[in-house]
Amino acid sequence: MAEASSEKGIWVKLQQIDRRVIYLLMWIVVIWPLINPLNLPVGLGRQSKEYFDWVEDIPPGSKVVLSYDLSFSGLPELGPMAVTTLHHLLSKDVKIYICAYWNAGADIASDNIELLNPEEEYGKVYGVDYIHIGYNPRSEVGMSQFAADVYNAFPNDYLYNAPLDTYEIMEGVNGAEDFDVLISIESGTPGASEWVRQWIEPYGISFLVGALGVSVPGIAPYYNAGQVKAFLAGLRSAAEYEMLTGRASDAMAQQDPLSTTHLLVLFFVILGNIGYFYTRGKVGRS
Amino acid sequence: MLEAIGPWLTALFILSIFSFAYKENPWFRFAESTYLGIATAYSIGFNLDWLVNQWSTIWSLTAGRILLFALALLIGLLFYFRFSRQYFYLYRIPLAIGVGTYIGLALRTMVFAQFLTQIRATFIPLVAETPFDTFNNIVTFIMIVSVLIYFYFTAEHRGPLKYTSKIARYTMMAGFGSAYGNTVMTRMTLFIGQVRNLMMHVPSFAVFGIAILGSLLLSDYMRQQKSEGVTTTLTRD
Repeated sequence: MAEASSEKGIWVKLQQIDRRVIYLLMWIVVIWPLINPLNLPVGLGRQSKEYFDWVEDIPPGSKVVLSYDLSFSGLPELGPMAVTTLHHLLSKDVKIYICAYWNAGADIASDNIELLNPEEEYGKVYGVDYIHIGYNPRSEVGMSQFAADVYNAFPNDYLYNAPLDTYEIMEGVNGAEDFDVLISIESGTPGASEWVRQWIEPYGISFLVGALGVSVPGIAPYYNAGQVKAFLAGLRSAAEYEMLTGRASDAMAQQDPLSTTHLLVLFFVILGNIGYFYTRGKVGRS
Repeated sequence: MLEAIGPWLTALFILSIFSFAYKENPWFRFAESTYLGIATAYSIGFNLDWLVNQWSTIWSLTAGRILLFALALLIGLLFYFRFSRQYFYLYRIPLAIGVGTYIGLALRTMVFAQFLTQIRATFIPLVAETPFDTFNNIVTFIMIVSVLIYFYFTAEHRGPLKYTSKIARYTMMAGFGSAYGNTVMTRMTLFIGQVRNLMMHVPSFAVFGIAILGSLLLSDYMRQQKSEGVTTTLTRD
Protein backbone atom coordinates (compact mmCIF):
# COMPACT_ATOMS: atom_id res chain seq x y z
CA MET A 1 0.00 0.00 0.00
CA ALA A 2 2.79 2.34 1.03
CA GLU A 3 4.78 1.27 -2.04
CA ALA A 4 1.87 2.11 -4.33
CA SER A 5 1.49 5.49 -2.68
CA SER A 6 5.19 6.26 -3.09
CA GLU A 7 5.04 5.17 -6.78
CA LYS A 8 2.15 7.52 -7.32
CA GLY A 9 4.11 10.22 -5.50
CA ILE A 10 6.94 9.98 -7.99
CA TRP A 11 4.56 10.47 -10.91
CA VAL A 12 2.85 13.37 -9.18
CA LYS A 13 6.26 14.93 -8.47
CA LEU A 14 7.32 14.46 -12.08
CA GLN A 15 4.26 16.39 -13.19
CA GLN A 16 5.15 19.21 -10.84
CA ILE A 17 8.80 19.71 -11.79
CA ASP A 18 9.92 23.23 -10.88
CA ARG A 19 9.83 25.37 -14.03
CA ARG A 20 13.35 26.61 -13.20
CA VAL A 21 14.68 23.08 -13.68
CA ILE A 22 13.02 22.96 -17.11
CA TYR A 23 14.51 26.37 -18.03
CA LEU A 24 17.95 25.20 -16.88
CA LEU A 25 17.69 22.07 -19.03
CA MET A 26 16.57 24.27 -21.93
CA TRP A 27 19.70 26.42 -21.58
CA ILE A 28 21.85 23.29 -21.55
CA VAL A 29 20.28 21.74 -24.66
CA VAL A 30 20.68 25.04 -26.55
CA ILE A 31 24.23 25.91 -25.47
CA TRP A 32 25.61 22.39 -25.82
CA PRO A 33 25.00 21.98 -29.62
CA LEU A 34 26.06 25.59 -30.22
CA ILE A 35 29.47 24.80 -28.69
CA ASN A 36 29.70 21.27 -30.14
CA PRO A 37 27.66 21.19 -33.38
CA LEU A 38 25.95 17.83 -33.88
CA ASN A 39 25.51 18.38 -37.63
CA LEU A 40 22.15 16.62 -37.64
CA PRO A 41 20.88 16.08 -41.20
CA VAL A 42 18.42 18.61 -42.62
CA GLY A 43 16.03 17.14 -45.19
CA LEU A 44 14.20 19.15 -47.81
CA GLY A 45 10.48 19.76 -47.36
CA ARG A 46 7.87 20.35 -50.05
CA GLN A 47 7.05 23.87 -48.87
CA SER A 48 10.56 25.30 -49.06
CA LYS A 49 11.11 23.59 -52.44
CA GLU A 50 7.92 25.19 -53.78
CA TYR A 51 8.95 28.61 -52.48
CA PHE A 52 12.42 28.23 -54.02
CA ASP A 53 10.93 27.12 -57.37
CA TRP A 54 8.53 30.06 -57.42
CA VAL A 55 11.30 32.60 -56.88
CA GLU A 56 13.59 30.74 -59.26
CA ASP A 57 10.94 30.76 -62.02
CA ILE A 58 10.14 34.49 -61.85
CA PRO A 59 10.67 35.63 -65.48
CA PRO A 60 13.51 38.09 -66.23
CA GLY A 61 12.47 41.75 -66.06
CA SER A 62 9.63 41.07 -63.60
CA LYS A 63 8.83 43.63 -60.92
CA VAL A 64 8.87 42.13 -57.42
CA VAL A 65 7.71 43.81 -54.20
CA LEU A 66 9.52 42.53 -51.10
CA SER A 67 7.71 43.71 -47.98
CA TYR A 68 9.43 43.57 -44.58
CA ASP A 69 6.39 43.18 -42.32
CA LEU A 70 8.32 42.24 -39.22
CA SER A 71 9.83 43.63 -36.06
CA PHE A 72 13.02 42.89 -34.13
CA SER A 73 11.35 40.16 -32.05
CA GLY A 74 10.67 38.14 -35.21
CA LEU A 75 14.26 38.44 -36.44
CA PRO A 76 15.65 35.07 -35.26
CA GLU A 77 13.05 33.23 -37.37
CA LEU A 78 12.27 35.68 -40.16
CA GLY A 79 15.70 37.34 -40.51
CA PRO A 80 17.29 34.36 -42.33
CA MET A 81 14.24 34.09 -44.65
CA ALA A 82 14.40 37.78 -45.51
CA VAL A 83 18.15 37.76 -46.21
CA THR A 84 17.96 34.58 -48.31
CA THR A 85 14.95 35.84 -50.28
CA LEU A 86 16.71 39.14 -51.01
CA HIS A 87 19.87 37.25 -51.98
CA HIS A 88 17.86 34.99 -54.30
CA LEU A 89 16.11 37.96 -55.93
CA LEU A 90 19.36 39.89 -56.33
CA SER A 91 20.85 36.85 -58.07
CA LYS A 92 18.13 37.12 -60.71
CA ASP A 93 17.35 39.62 -63.44
CA VAL A 94 14.33 41.19 -61.72
CA LYS A 95 13.46 44.64 -60.38
CA ILE A 96 13.14 44.68 -56.59
CA TYR A 97 10.96 47.14 -54.66
CA ILE A 98 11.57 46.86 -50.91
CA CYS A 99 8.98 48.31 -48.53
CA ALA A 100 7.86 47.91 -44.90
CA TYR A 101 4.59 48.12 -43.03
CA TRP A 102 6.21 47.59 -39.63
CA ASN A 103 8.49 50.44 -38.55
CA ALA A 104 11.38 48.15 -37.59
CA GLY A 105 11.04 46.41 -40.95
CA ALA A 106 12.41 49.45 -42.80
CA ASP A 107 15.63 49.40 -40.74
CA ILE A 108 15.93 45.61 -40.96
CA ALA A 109 15.67 45.90 -44.76
CA SER A 110 18.40 48.56 -44.80
CA ASP A 111 20.62 46.26 -42.72
CA ASN A 112 20.01 43.39 -45.14
CA ILE A 113 20.91 45.59 -48.10
CA GLU A 114 24.12 46.64 -46.34
CA LEU A 115 24.90 43.01 -45.46
CA LEU A 116 24.43 41.70 -49.00
CA ASN A 117 26.06 44.72 -50.66
CA PRO A 118 24.17 44.46 -54.00
CA GLU A 119 26.52 46.82 -55.88
CA GLU A 120 29.70 44.86 -55.12
CA GLU A 121 28.39 41.30 -54.79
CA TYR A 122 25.64 41.18 -57.43
CA GLY A 123 26.49 44.07 -59.75
CA LYS A 124 23.12 45.74 -59.08
CA VAL A 125 22.53 49.49 -59.06
CA TYR A 126 20.34 51.25 -56.50
CA GLY A 127 17.43 52.99 -58.19
CA VAL A 128 17.88 50.94 -61.36
CA ASP A 129 17.71 47.30 -60.24
CA TYR A 130 16.43 47.69 -56.70
CA ILE A 131 15.03 50.37 -54.42
CA HIS A 132 14.02 50.74 -50.78
CA ILE A 133 10.79 52.71 -50.97
CA GLY A 134 10.44 52.82 -47.20
CA TYR A 135 7.87 52.54 -44.46
CA ASN A 136 4.15 53.24 -44.42
CA PRO A 137 2.47 53.29 -40.99
CA ARG A 138 -1.08 53.08 -42.30
CA SER A 139 -1.31 49.31 -42.15
CA GLU A 140 -4.07 47.92 -44.42
CA VAL A 141 -5.09 51.42 -45.50
CA GLY A 142 -1.47 51.99 -46.56
CA MET A 143 -1.48 48.76 -48.58
CA SER A 144 -4.61 49.89 -50.39
CA GLN A 145 -2.96 53.28 -50.96
CA PHE A 146 0.16 51.57 -52.38
CA ALA A 147 -2.04 49.52 -54.71
CA ALA A 148 -3.75 52.66 -56.03
CA ASP A 149 -0.78 55.05 -56.19
CA VAL A 150 2.73 54.14 -55.09
CA TYR A 151 3.91 57.79 -55.11
CA ASN A 152 1.21 58.78 -52.65
CA ALA A 153 2.00 55.90 -50.29
CA PHE A 154 5.79 56.34 -50.51
CA PRO A 155 6.67 59.82 -51.80
CA ASN A 156 10.43 59.45 -51.16
CA ASP A 157 12.78 56.49 -51.00
CA TYR A 158 14.13 55.36 -47.64
CA LEU A 159 17.89 55.38 -48.12
CA TYR A 160 18.42 58.79 -49.76
CA ASN A 161 15.06 60.52 -49.14
CA ALA A 162 14.81 61.48 -52.84
CA PRO A 163 11.47 61.63 -54.71
CA LEU A 164 10.55 58.18 -56.03
CA ASP A 165 9.79 59.42 -59.54
CA THR A 166 13.43 60.49 -59.99
CA TYR A 167 14.57 56.84 -60.03
CA GLU A 168 14.81 54.88 -63.26
CA ILE A 169 13.33 51.76 -61.65
CA MET A 170 10.03 53.60 -61.12
CA GLU A 171 9.43 54.18 -64.84
CA GLY A 172 6.02 52.79 -65.79
CA VAL A 173 5.17 51.95 -62.19
CA ASN A 174 2.04 53.46 -60.67
CA GLY A 175 0.28 50.86 -58.60
CA ALA A 176 -0.39 47.19 -57.89
CA GLU A 177 -1.24 46.22 -61.46
CA ASP A 178 2.31 47.12 -62.53
CA PHE A 179 3.91 44.51 -60.27
CA ASP A 180 4.22 40.78 -60.99
CA VAL A 181 5.06 39.19 -57.65
CA LEU A 182 4.58 40.21 -54.03
CA ILE A 183 6.64 38.63 -51.23
CA SER A 184 5.82 39.41 -47.61
CA ILE A 185 8.11 38.35 -44.77
CA GLU A 186 5.55 38.72 -42.07
CA SER A 187 5.21 38.64 -38.28
CA GLY A 188 1.47 39.21 -37.94
CA THR A 189 -0.84 42.15 -38.51
CA PRO A 190 -0.47 43.85 -40.95
CA GLY A 191 0.72 40.89 -42.96
CA ALA A 192 -0.58 38.16 -45.26
CA SER A 193 -4.32 38.60 -44.56
CA GLU A 194 -4.17 42.32 -45.31
CA TRP A 195 -2.14 41.79 -48.48
CA VAL A 196 -4.65 39.16 -49.65
CA ARG A 197 -7.53 41.59 -49.09
CA GLN A 198 -5.92 44.64 -50.71
CA TRP A 199 -3.61 43.21 -53.39
CA ILE A 200 -4.17 39.55 -54.14
CA GLU A 201 -7.94 39.37 -54.43
CA PRO A 202 -8.46 42.63 -56.41
CA TYR A 203 -5.34 42.45 -58.63
CA GLY A 204 -4.53 38.71 -58.78
CA ILE A 205 -0.80 39.14 -58.20
CA SER A 206 1.30 36.06 -57.33
CA PHE A 207 1.89 36.10 -53.59
CA LEU A 208 4.65 34.37 -51.59
CA VAL A 209 4.94 34.50 -47.81
CA GLY A 210 7.70 33.93 -45.27
CA ALA A 211 5.97 33.39 -41.95
CA LEU A 212 6.69 32.65 -38.32
CA GLY A 213 5.98 29.05 -37.36
CA VAL A 214 3.22 30.26 -35.08
CA SER A 215 1.46 31.95 -38.04
CA VAL A 216 1.31 28.81 -40.18
CA PRO A 217 -2.25 27.74 -39.21
CA GLY A 218 -3.38 31.22 -40.29
CA ILE A 219 -1.54 31.14 -43.64
CA ALA A 220 -2.41 27.54 -44.62
CA PRO A 221 -6.03 28.29 -45.69
CA TYR A 222 -4.77 30.98 -48.12
CA TYR A 223 -2.29 28.48 -49.51
CA ASN A 224 -4.99 25.82 -49.96
CA ALA A 225 -7.17 28.37 -51.73
CA GLY A 226 -4.31 29.34 -54.08
CA GLN A 227 -4.13 32.93 -52.83
CA VAL A 228 -0.66 32.24 -51.44
CA LYS A 229 1.39 30.38 -54.04
CA ALA A 230 4.10 29.18 -51.65
CA PHE A 231 5.24 29.91 -48.13
CA LEU A 232 8.13 29.34 -45.78
CA ALA A 233 7.03 28.14 -42.36
CA GLY A 234 9.39 29.01 -39.56
CA LEU A 235 13.10 28.50 -39.06
CA ARG A 236 13.11 24.95 -40.40
CA SER A 237 11.83 26.08 -43.82
CA ALA A 238 14.28 28.98 -43.73
CA ALA A 239 17.17 26.52 -43.27
CA GLU A 240 15.93 24.38 -46.16
CA TYR A 241 15.63 27.49 -48.33
CA GLU A 242 19.21 28.45 -47.42
CA MET A 243 20.33 24.97 -48.51
CA LEU A 244 18.50 25.28 -51.83
CA THR A 245 20.01 28.68 -52.60
CA GLY A 246 23.47 27.42 -51.61
CA ARG A 247 23.90 30.10 -48.99
CA ALA A 248 23.92 28.25 -45.65
CA SER A 249 23.85 30.85 -42.90
CA ASP A 250 21.97 31.75 -39.69
CA ALA A 251 19.02 29.38 -40.10
CA MET A 252 21.27 26.37 -40.75
CA ALA A 253 23.41 27.27 -37.74
CA GLN A 254 20.33 27.06 -35.50
CA GLN A 255 19.07 23.66 -36.64
CA ASP A 256 20.95 21.58 -34.04
CA PRO A 257 19.66 23.50 -31.01
CA LEU A 258 16.21 23.60 -32.63
CA SER A 259 16.22 19.80 -32.79
CA THR A 260 17.54 19.31 -29.25
CA THR A 261 15.00 21.74 -27.74
CA HIS A 262 12.18 19.97 -29.59
CA LEU A 263 13.40 16.62 -28.28
CA LEU A 264 13.36 18.04 -24.75
CA VAL A 265 9.83 19.41 -25.17
CA LEU A 266 8.74 16.04 -26.60
CA PHE A 267 10.31 14.25 -23.64
CA PHE A 268 8.42 16.43 -21.16
CA VAL A 269 5.15 16.07 -23.07
CA ILE A 270 5.49 12.25 -23.02
CA LEU A 271 6.52 12.28 -19.34
CA GLY A 272 3.64 14.54 -18.40
CA ASN A 273 1.13 12.37 -20.26
CA ILE A 274 2.40 9.12 -18.75
CA GLY A 275 2.20 10.72 -15.30
CA TYR A 276 -1.27 12.07 -15.99
CA PHE A 277 -2.69 8.71 -17.12
CA TYR A 278 -0.90 6.79 -14.37
CA THR A 279 -2.14 9.01 -11.53
CA ARG A 280 -5.61 9.30 -13.05
CA GLY A 281 -5.93 5.51 -13.07
CA LYS A 282 -4.85 5.25 -9.44
CA VAL A 283 -7.26 7.94 -8.34
CA GLY A 284 -10.06 6.18 -10.20
CA ARG A 285 -9.41 2.85 -8.40
CA SER A 286 -9.05 4.29 -4.88
CA MET B 1 32.82 52.99 -28.51
CA LEU B 2 29.31 51.77 -29.35
CA GLU B 3 30.75 48.51 -30.69
CA ALA B 4 32.47 47.92 -27.35
CA ILE B 5 29.39 48.73 -25.24
CA GLY B 6 26.87 46.98 -27.54
CA PRO B 7 27.53 43.35 -26.52
CA TRP B 8 27.51 44.29 -22.81
CA LEU B 9 24.16 46.07 -23.13
CA THR B 10 22.79 43.15 -25.15
CA ALA B 11 23.86 40.65 -22.50
CA LEU B 12 22.53 42.81 -19.65
CA PHE B 13 19.07 43.20 -21.19
CA ILE B 14 18.69 39.64 -22.51
CA LEU B 15 19.68 38.11 -19.17
CA SER B 16 17.60 40.63 -17.18
CA ILE B 17 14.51 39.66 -19.16
CA PHE B 18 15.33 35.94 -18.86
CA SER B 19 15.72 36.35 -15.08
CA PHE B 20 11.90 36.40 -14.93
CA ALA B 21 12.07 32.63 -15.43
CA TYR B 22 13.55 32.47 -11.91
CA LYS B 23 11.07 34.91 -10.39
CA GLU B 24 9.80 38.49 -10.61
CA ASN B 25 12.76 40.75 -9.71
CA PRO B 26 14.23 44.27 -10.10
CA TRP B 27 16.53 43.23 -12.99
CA PHE B 28 13.48 42.18 -15.01
CA ARG B 29 11.47 45.29 -14.12
CA PHE B 30 14.38 47.54 -15.10
CA ALA B 31 14.79 45.82 -18.49
CA GLU B 32 11.05 45.72 -19.12
CA SER B 33 10.55 49.44 -18.38
CA THR B 34 13.59 50.42 -20.46
CA TYR B 35 12.37 48.34 -23.38
CA LEU B 36 8.88 49.84 -23.24
CA GLY B 37 10.31 53.36 -23.17
CA ILE B 38 12.69 52.76 -26.06
CA ALA B 39 10.11 50.90 -28.19
CA THR B 40 7.56 53.67 -27.70
CA ALA B 41 10.09 56.40 -28.50
CA TYR B 42 11.26 54.47 -31.58
CA SER B 43 7.71 54.12 -32.84
CA ILE B 44 6.80 57.78 -32.21
CA GLY B 45 10.02 59.01 -33.82
CA PHE B 46 9.50 56.84 -36.87
CA ASN B 47 5.88 57.90 -37.35
CA LEU B 48 6.67 61.60 -36.81
CA ASP B 49 9.41 61.35 -39.40
CA TRP B 50 6.91 59.80 -41.83
CA LEU B 51 4.41 62.60 -41.10
CA VAL B 52 7.03 65.31 -41.73
CA ASN B 53 7.97 63.55 -44.95
CA GLN B 54 4.32 63.44 -46.05
CA TRP B 55 3.94 67.13 -45.24
CA SER B 56 6.99 68.26 -47.18
CA THR B 57 6.37 66.06 -50.23
CA ILE B 58 2.59 66.01 -50.67
CA TRP B 59 0.52 68.08 -48.29
CA SER B 60 2.36 71.42 -48.29
CA LEU B 61 2.17 71.88 -52.06
CA THR B 62 -1.23 73.61 -52.44
CA ALA B 63 -3.53 75.65 -50.19
CA GLY B 64 -6.27 73.01 -50.43
CA ARG B 65 -3.93 70.25 -49.28
CA ILE B 66 -2.61 72.38 -46.40
CA LEU B 67 -6.19 72.87 -45.25
CA LEU B 68 -6.92 69.13 -45.44
CA PHE B 69 -3.71 68.32 -43.58
CA ALA B 70 -4.55 70.83 -40.82
CA LEU B 71 -8.06 69.38 -40.55
CA ALA B 72 -6.69 65.84 -40.25
CA LEU B 73 -4.24 66.97 -37.55
CA LEU B 74 -7.02 68.70 -35.60
CA ILE B 75 -9.21 65.60 -35.78
CA GLY B 76 -6.22 63.51 -34.69
CA LEU B 77 -5.66 65.77 -31.68
CA LEU B 78 -9.18 64.97 -30.50
CA PHE B 79 -7.76 61.60 -29.38
CA TYR B 80 -6.34 63.42 -26.35
CA PHE B 81 -9.85 64.10 -25.03
CA ARG B 82 -9.75 60.51 -23.85
CA PHE B 83 -8.16 61.96 -20.72
CA SER B 84 -11.00 64.42 -20.09
CA ARG B 85 -14.17 63.27 -18.36
CA GLN B 86 -16.13 66.31 -19.57
CA TYR B 87 -15.17 66.08 -23.25
CA PHE B 88 -14.60 62.35 -23.52
CA TYR B 89 -17.20 62.11 -26.30
CA LEU B 90 -14.93 64.12 -28.63
CA TYR B 91 -12.40 61.29 -28.50
CA ARG B 92 -14.95 59.07 -30.25
CA ILE B 93 -14.88 61.20 -33.45
CA PRO B 94 -11.37 60.26 -34.69
CA LEU B 95 -11.91 56.74 -33.38
CA ALA B 96 -15.12 56.39 -35.39
CA ILE B 97 -13.42 57.75 -38.54
CA GLY B 98 -10.52 55.31 -38.15
CA VAL B 99 -12.68 52.28 -37.39
CA GLY B 100 -15.15 53.15 -40.15
CA THR B 101 -12.46 53.61 -42.80
CA TYR B 102 -10.68 50.43 -41.80
CA ILE B 103 -13.81 48.28 -41.71
CA GLY B 104 -15.07 49.71 -45.00
CA LEU B 105 -11.78 49.05 -46.70
CA ALA B 106 -11.43 45.53 -45.30
CA LEU B 107 -15.05 44.53 -46.01
CA ARG B 108 -14.68 45.62 -49.63
CA THR B 109 -12.77 42.42 -50.42
CA MET B 110 -13.13 40.35 -47.27
CA VAL B 111 -16.22 38.50 -48.55
CA PHE B 112 -14.23 37.27 -51.54
CA ALA B 113 -10.75 36.95 -50.00
CA GLN B 114 -11.66 35.26 -46.76
CA PHE B 115 -15.05 33.70 -47.35
CA LEU B 116 -16.04 32.79 -50.91
CA THR B 117 -12.54 31.82 -52.10
CA GLN B 118 -12.02 29.73 -48.98
CA ILE B 119 -15.33 27.92 -49.52
CA ARG B 120 -14.50 27.37 -53.18
CA ALA B 121 -11.16 25.82 -52.14
CA THR B 122 -13.04 23.08 -50.29
CA PHE B 123 -14.85 21.97 -53.46
CA ILE B 124 -12.49 19.12 -54.24
CA PRO B 125 -13.02 15.93 -56.30
CA LEU B 126 -13.52 12.90 -54.08
CA VAL B 127 -11.80 10.72 -56.68
CA ALA B 128 -8.41 12.22 -57.55
CA GLU B 129 -5.52 11.20 -59.81
CA THR B 130 -3.59 9.20 -57.21
CA PRO B 131 -4.95 6.98 -54.41
CA PHE B 132 -3.18 9.15 -51.85
CA ASP B 133 -4.85 12.33 -53.15
CA THR B 134 -8.22 10.53 -53.19
CA PHE B 135 -7.74 9.51 -49.56
CA ASN B 136 -6.62 13.05 -48.69
CA ASN B 137 -9.64 14.64 -50.35
CA ILE B 138 -12.12 12.25 -48.71
CA VAL B 139 -10.61 12.87 -45.27
CA THR B 140 -10.66 16.64 -45.90
CA PHE B 141 -14.31 16.48 -46.97
CA ILE B 142 -15.35 14.47 -43.89
CA MET B 143 -13.44 16.78 -41.56
CA ILE B 144 -14.84 20.00 -43.03
CA VAL B 145 -18.44 18.76 -42.93
CA SER B 146 -17.99 17.41 -39.38
CA VAL B 147 -16.52 20.64 -38.02
CA LEU B 148 -19.25 22.70 -39.67
CA ILE B 149 -21.91 20.45 -38.08
CA TYR B 150 -20.12 20.67 -34.72
CA PHE B 151 -20.91 24.40 -34.59
CA TYR B 152 -24.57 23.84 -35.46
CA PHE B 153 -26.23 24.31 -32.10
CA THR B 154 -29.93 24.26 -33.02
CA ALA B 155 -30.25 20.49 -32.64
CA GLU B 156 -28.78 18.38 -29.85
CA HIS B 157 -25.76 16.32 -30.97
CA ARG B 158 -27.40 12.87 -30.66
CA GLY B 159 -27.76 9.98 -33.06
CA PRO B 160 -25.66 10.42 -36.24
CA LEU B 161 -24.67 13.93 -35.13
CA LYS B 162 -22.90 12.38 -32.12
CA TYR B 163 -20.42 10.68 -34.47
CA THR B 164 -19.79 13.75 -36.64
CA SER B 165 -19.31 15.72 -33.44
CA LYS B 166 -16.65 13.26 -32.30
CA ILE B 167 -14.84 13.41 -35.67
CA ALA B 168 -14.97 17.22 -35.44
CA ARG B 169 -13.41 17.15 -31.97
CA TYR B 170 -10.54 14.96 -33.17
CA THR B 171 -10.11 17.16 -36.25
CA MET B 172 -9.85 20.29 -34.13
CA MET B 173 -7.51 18.56 -31.68
CA ALA B 174 -5.22 17.72 -34.61
CA GLY B 175 -5.38 21.38 -35.67
CA PHE B 176 -4.56 22.59 -32.15
CA GLY B 177 -1.70 20.10 -31.96
CA SER B 178 -0.26 21.40 -35.21
CA ALA B 179 -0.63 24.98 -33.97
CA TYR B 180 1.09 24.04 -30.70
CA GLY B 181 4.00 22.41 -32.55
CA ASN B 182 4.50 25.51 -34.68
CA THR B 183 4.25 27.73 -31.61
CA VAL B 184 6.97 25.69 -29.88
CA MET B 185 9.21 26.14 -32.93
CA THR B 186 8.70 29.93 -32.93
CA ARG B 187 9.30 30.30 -29.19
CA MET B 188 12.37 28.05 -29.26
CA THR B 189 13.77 30.00 -32.21
CA LEU B 190 13.42 33.24 -30.26
CA PHE B 191 15.25 31.65 -27.33
CA ILE B 192 17.99 30.12 -29.51
CA GLY B 193 18.47 33.46 -31.32
CA GLN B 194 19.09 35.28 -28.05
CA VAL B 195 21.41 32.56 -26.70
CA ARG B 196 23.42 32.82 -29.94
CA ASN B 197 23.67 36.58 -29.40
CA LEU B 198 25.00 35.94 -25.90
CA MET B 199 27.47 33.31 -27.09
CA MET B 200 28.98 35.78 -29.54
CA HIS B 201 30.47 37.70 -26.59
CA VAL B 202 31.19 35.26 -23.78
CA PRO B 203 32.75 37.74 -21.24
CA SER B 204 29.58 39.89 -21.05
CA PHE B 205 27.42 36.72 -20.91
CA ALA B 206 29.52 35.33 -18.04
CA VAL B 207 29.75 38.58 -16.06
CA PHE B 208 26.04 39.46 -16.22
CA GLY B 209 24.99 35.81 -15.90
CA ILE B 210 26.92 35.45 -12.65
CA ALA B 211 25.87 38.90 -11.40
CA ILE B 212 22.14 38.43 -12.04
CA LEU B 213 21.86 34.79 -10.95
CA GLY B 214 24.14 35.46 -7.95
CA SER B 215 22.08 38.43 -6.79
CA LEU B 216 18.83 36.44 -7.10
CA LEU B 217 20.21 33.47 -5.17
CA LEU B 218 21.71 35.78 -2.53
CA SER B 219 18.45 37.65 -2.07
CA ASP B 220 16.60 34.32 -1.67
CA TYR B 221 19.18 33.11 0.84
CA MET B 222 18.96 36.33 2.88
CA ARG B 223 15.17 36.21 2.87
CA GLN B 224 15.27 32.60 4.03
CA GLN B 225 17.73 33.45 6.83
CA LYS B 226 15.54 36.32 7.91
CA SER B 227 12.39 34.18 8.01
CA GLU B 228 14.24 31.42 9.93
CA GLY B 229 15.43 34.07 12.42
CA VAL B 230 11.85 35.24 12.96
CA THR B 231 10.68 31.62 13.44
CA THR B 232 13.44 30.94 16.01
CA THR B 233 12.55 34.12 17.98
CA LEU B 234 8.86 33.22 17.99
CA THR B 235 9.64 29.65 19.20
CA ARG B 236 11.89 31.00 21.99
CA ASP B 237 9.15 33.39 23.12
